[in-house]
Amino acid sequence: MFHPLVPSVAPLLAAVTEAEPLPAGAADILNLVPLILALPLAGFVFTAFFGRRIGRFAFLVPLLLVVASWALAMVVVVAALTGGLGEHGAGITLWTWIPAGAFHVEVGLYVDQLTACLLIVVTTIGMLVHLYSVGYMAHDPGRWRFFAYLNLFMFSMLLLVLGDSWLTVFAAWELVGLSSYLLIGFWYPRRSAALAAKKAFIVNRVGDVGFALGIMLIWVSTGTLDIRASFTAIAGLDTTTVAAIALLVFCGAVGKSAQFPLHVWLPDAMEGPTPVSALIHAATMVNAGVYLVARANPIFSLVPGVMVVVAAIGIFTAILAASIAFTQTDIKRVLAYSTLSQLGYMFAALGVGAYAAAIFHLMAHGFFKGLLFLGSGSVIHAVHEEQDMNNMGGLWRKIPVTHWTMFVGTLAIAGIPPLAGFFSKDEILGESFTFGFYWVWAIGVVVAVMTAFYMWRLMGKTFYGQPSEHARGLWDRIHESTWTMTLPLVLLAIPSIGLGAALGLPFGSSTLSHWLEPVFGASETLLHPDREPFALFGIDGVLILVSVTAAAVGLVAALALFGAFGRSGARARVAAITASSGLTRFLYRGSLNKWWFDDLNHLLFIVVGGRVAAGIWWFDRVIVDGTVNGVGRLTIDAGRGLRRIQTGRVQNYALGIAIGLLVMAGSYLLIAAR
Amino acid sequence: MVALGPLAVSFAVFVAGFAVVLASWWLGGRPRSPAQTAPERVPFGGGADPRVHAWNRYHVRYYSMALIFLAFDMEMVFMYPWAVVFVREGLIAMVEMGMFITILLLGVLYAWRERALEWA
Amino acid sequence: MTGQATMATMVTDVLPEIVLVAGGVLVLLYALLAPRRLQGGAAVVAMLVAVAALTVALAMLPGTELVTFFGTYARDRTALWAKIIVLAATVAVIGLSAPWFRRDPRHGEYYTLLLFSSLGAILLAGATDLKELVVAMLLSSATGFVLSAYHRRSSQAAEAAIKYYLIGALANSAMLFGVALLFGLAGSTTLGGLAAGLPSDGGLALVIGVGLVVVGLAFKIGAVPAHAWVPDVAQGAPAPVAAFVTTVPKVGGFIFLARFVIALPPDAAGWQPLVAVLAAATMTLGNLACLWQDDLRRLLGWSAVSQTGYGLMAVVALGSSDLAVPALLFFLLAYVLGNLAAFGVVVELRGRTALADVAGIGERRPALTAALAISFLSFIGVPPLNGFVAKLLLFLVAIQVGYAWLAVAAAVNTVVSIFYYVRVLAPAYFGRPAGTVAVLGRPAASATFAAAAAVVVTGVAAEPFVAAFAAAGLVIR
Repeated sequence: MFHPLVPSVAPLLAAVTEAEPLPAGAADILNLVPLILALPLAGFVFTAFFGRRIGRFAFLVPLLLVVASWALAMVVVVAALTGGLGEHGAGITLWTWIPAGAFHVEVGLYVDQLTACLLIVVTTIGMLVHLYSVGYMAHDPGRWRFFAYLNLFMFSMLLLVLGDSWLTVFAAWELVGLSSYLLIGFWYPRRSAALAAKKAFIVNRVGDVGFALGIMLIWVSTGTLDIRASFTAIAGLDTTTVAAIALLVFCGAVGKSAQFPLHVWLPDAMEGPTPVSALIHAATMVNAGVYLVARANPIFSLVPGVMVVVAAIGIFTAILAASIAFTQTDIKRVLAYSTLSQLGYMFAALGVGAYAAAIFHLMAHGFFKGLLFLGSGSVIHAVHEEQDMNNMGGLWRKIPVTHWTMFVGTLAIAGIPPLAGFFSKDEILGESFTFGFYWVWAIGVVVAVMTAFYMWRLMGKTFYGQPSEHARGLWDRIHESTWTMTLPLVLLAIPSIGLGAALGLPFGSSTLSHWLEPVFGASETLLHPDREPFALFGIDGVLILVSVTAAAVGLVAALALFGAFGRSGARARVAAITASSGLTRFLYRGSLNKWWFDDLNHLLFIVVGGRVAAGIWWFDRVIVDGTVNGVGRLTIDAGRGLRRIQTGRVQNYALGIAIGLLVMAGSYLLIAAR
Repeated sequence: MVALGPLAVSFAVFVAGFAVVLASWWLGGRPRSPAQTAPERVPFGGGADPRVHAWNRYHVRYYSMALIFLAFDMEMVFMYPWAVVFVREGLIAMVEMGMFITILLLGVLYAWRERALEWA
Repeated sequence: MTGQATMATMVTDVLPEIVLVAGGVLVLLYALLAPRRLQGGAAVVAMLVAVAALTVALAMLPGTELVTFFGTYARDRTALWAKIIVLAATVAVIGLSAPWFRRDPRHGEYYTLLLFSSLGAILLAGATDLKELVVAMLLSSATGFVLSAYHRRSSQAAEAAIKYYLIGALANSAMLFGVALLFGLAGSTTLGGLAAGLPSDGGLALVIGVGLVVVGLAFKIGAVPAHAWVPDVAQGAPAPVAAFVTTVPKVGGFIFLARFVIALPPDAAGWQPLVAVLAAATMTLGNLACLWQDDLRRLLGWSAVSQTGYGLMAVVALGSSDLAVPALLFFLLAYVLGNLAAFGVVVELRGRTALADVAGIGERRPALTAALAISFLSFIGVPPLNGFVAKLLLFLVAIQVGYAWLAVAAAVNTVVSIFYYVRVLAPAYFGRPAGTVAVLGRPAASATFAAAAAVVVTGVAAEPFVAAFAAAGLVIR
């Protein structure tokens, strides 16, 4: 019997792992799914090998492949959302990786409605960011490397949302971490970039260890690594184990989505090129944690206690980051803290059991935050790589396209109807209230006010008022970016305006929640069995009014302070308010110093750590040296000692053989004698 | 004592012989040889004049000879058992040995080409 | 058993071997007749021969498994896969050698030696007879000694070769004594005869006999206690030869060891704990010696020793686990490919070997450094590279047959090994390059990249290989 070296193509194309019969044509659609992944991977391999040689036009292949991948993804998305892949989606087994007795590892992909939603965000924004980067990186000699990394990231992120086993997801999880690391440190000769990359990598590892342990726990307690099979199996476990699994998985999510207390890496990650900030650190990778918890909703829904933890961490991160965004002057850092804050919203939504609302906000936020980041990149480009907003001002006439698209993004994130952010944010707040999480709702409303305020502050400092000294210095040379950069802005502005109304209406039973019903329905019924129907002229209407009012309050306050268009004098007003009382001074300084989290870490790990180490010095000498160091030293000394044995003299080698033989025979006889 | 007879005789002969040698050495004194002529001091070369010093070092390529010898020696070793079964196995044995010797002959050709057959 | 028909069928059982013999002679003839400037053409001839033998071996895979030539030679799929691995490695080594020896005025016969050496390894993999073992061992060893000393004027190479030779002579003669003892005990030299004839309470003679044969095989695979030559040869021999002798003979040695242990009487045999102890000692020793190496080639030599230790885990499980043979074969595949890629990088870097000189090559030679990283990560066992699959299978079989402690020892060793592999990779990527990084040429680069790509491919698409290896039998009679 002959065993072919290559896996036969037939199972690759048609192995559909689903018990229920699939609609006609589903198999054809499914066969496209591996291609969505393969195209960016091919782009990465091609560019990594030939990019340097191609030089100037190295962007062409990656860009075209990502566009093709987007087109394929849209076909699959439409099929998945219209039921073309069956009610619960469908999967395809690529290959069995390691068949070792009972231990089978298979690599497969699975598409359901949740995956489809993520596919829309990842491929669309990914494609636009590729296009944007053509202009943004035009003068960088290493841009072929940049595009190779971008394609690698696209592949990893798509694998993350498409993977059907915990192992695949974890591998993709690490791959997105790797590509994020590479891209943050893209300008690695710059010391701060290299440090930021390292920080992101290390902080992420903390969360990943938790995630890995969670996966191991899943495997040990259920015996399967298939995501869907594990859900069924976990339902039969005791609550403690389920809670442990949920918490460990959440650990990974906290790291990747930069939630408190692992939030410190994301603002530093802004050292990467701005398209990277838009794609990875705003629109896609940081959403991986949200996706993970949403994907694992059957697990989380079994343990409401853990869900409260998720909600608490989420809403705390939301208000913490929003308060820091108040006073930052680096335009990208403001957006980074804003991202943290919005991600906090999503986790709050997950925690209260409003899964669909979380995904809704994920999608809407992906688009408008991607837009804002790309816009900020355009601004930074215009003022010659200056990121401090104090050095901008009055730019709205000079770069109108950037200004107006960012204007749209700001209104969207602030939650002004009828833009996207209004619908998604309102759904989160409304459901928090309806499900009885009044504290989440209350803090959420405060954060909404703050969001509107700091976003308008950003607009005011950047675009309105009098130009700063720096901006005036190069006033004549400031010009709008090329079309490859402005086109993505315009294209992203469209969903920022319309996505909310398209997916969020009608209130109470929106299009999106219908789409996601097969994924979240069971969990939501389990958590909220007696949910009231939506009442526009009842409590729900009031809640909408509260949300809108909150946004308006923030916006008006910021308008009063920072003004619009030509008005100036903002700095004096801010200074006056800050100086008005001790409390405001404290709040201002706290926000400006990011509530001293970096200092706290420094204190904890370096100062206190050093003191503690000094305090237990004798203990260290006596106990730790005796054990841990001893083992370490033993290893090292053994290595050194071995070099002494390996003298290079053949006589000694021969003696070694003889001794070995004697020991072998002796031990054999000892064993045999027993 | 009879048994000791032959032993005693032989011992006596030994002592006597020893005494004769000692006496001749004692009586003869130091030999006094005349100085050698130059040709006499040259190592005997069968009449030919030596071209290098007698202690001159030169390379005898024994090892290459030894290796080549070994190759043929092993051939002979294999041929003994082969000769025993040759009659019984017939043609197959003939062909097998033919292949073996062919390869060996190629070895000789190689040695020849490498000038391993030339002395010094 | 005589007669034309039988003989003819038996000859078809050893077609790859015949191709190699004839091809080796052909290469020698070429080297004889070709002028100096055309000596390099011998590489092409040798490559064609190796590929032809490889094709024949692949074509023989579907055949039935049996022992041929009167119980002295196995024609099973394990042997065939071993042949395929050996021949593929030989092809790669020829690719590495061609540019390396380009300036050597007389190197045509180098390829003859290479082909005969891989023939020795192949015979070792197929041998089911102790006398066959001796012949195969000598063929494989003697050619190895000469290959190691091929740089006649390099004192390092000469020293390495002499050490290799002396240890080899000792180990091989020890093995001869062992073979004689076992012959005396069993009254037969075939493994089938041993299995039937060895007394289960053979006492001291059996112990010594088995021990001596194991010492001989330990020399071949570079295991404790006859491992000492490996780092010396890896460092001193010409780099392509180092790639060859640390991989190819090992394949043959491992397969014969596997056949040998299953021929031993099962009840009296303490061979399982014996091999387990050897495995643990080998992997630990190799690893510890690696820790502070400042020479890349020497480090690779020691890492080859430690890898042998991992491979011995599969031998421990033989006869008790169905997965043992696939684990062993997959380990050999992964190890050979990884080692070829690593040594290939050394060759392509023109023998650059001091750790300090590797700093910063990532910037100058990204693809080459990637190949090095792939092979090292595979040695560590990072998924999805083939080293991960190999380690997974090895750990599984060790645990299956109740040697959990061995698996734990291997896991600890793996963790330790990360240190020295990273000790090379970190400066390679993050160090500052000093000057230009010269490379050797296209054949060497192709062989290196092919090996590195194969490490990835056989890792990602491990399933067909594991399945094919699982269908491979290990016959001794």
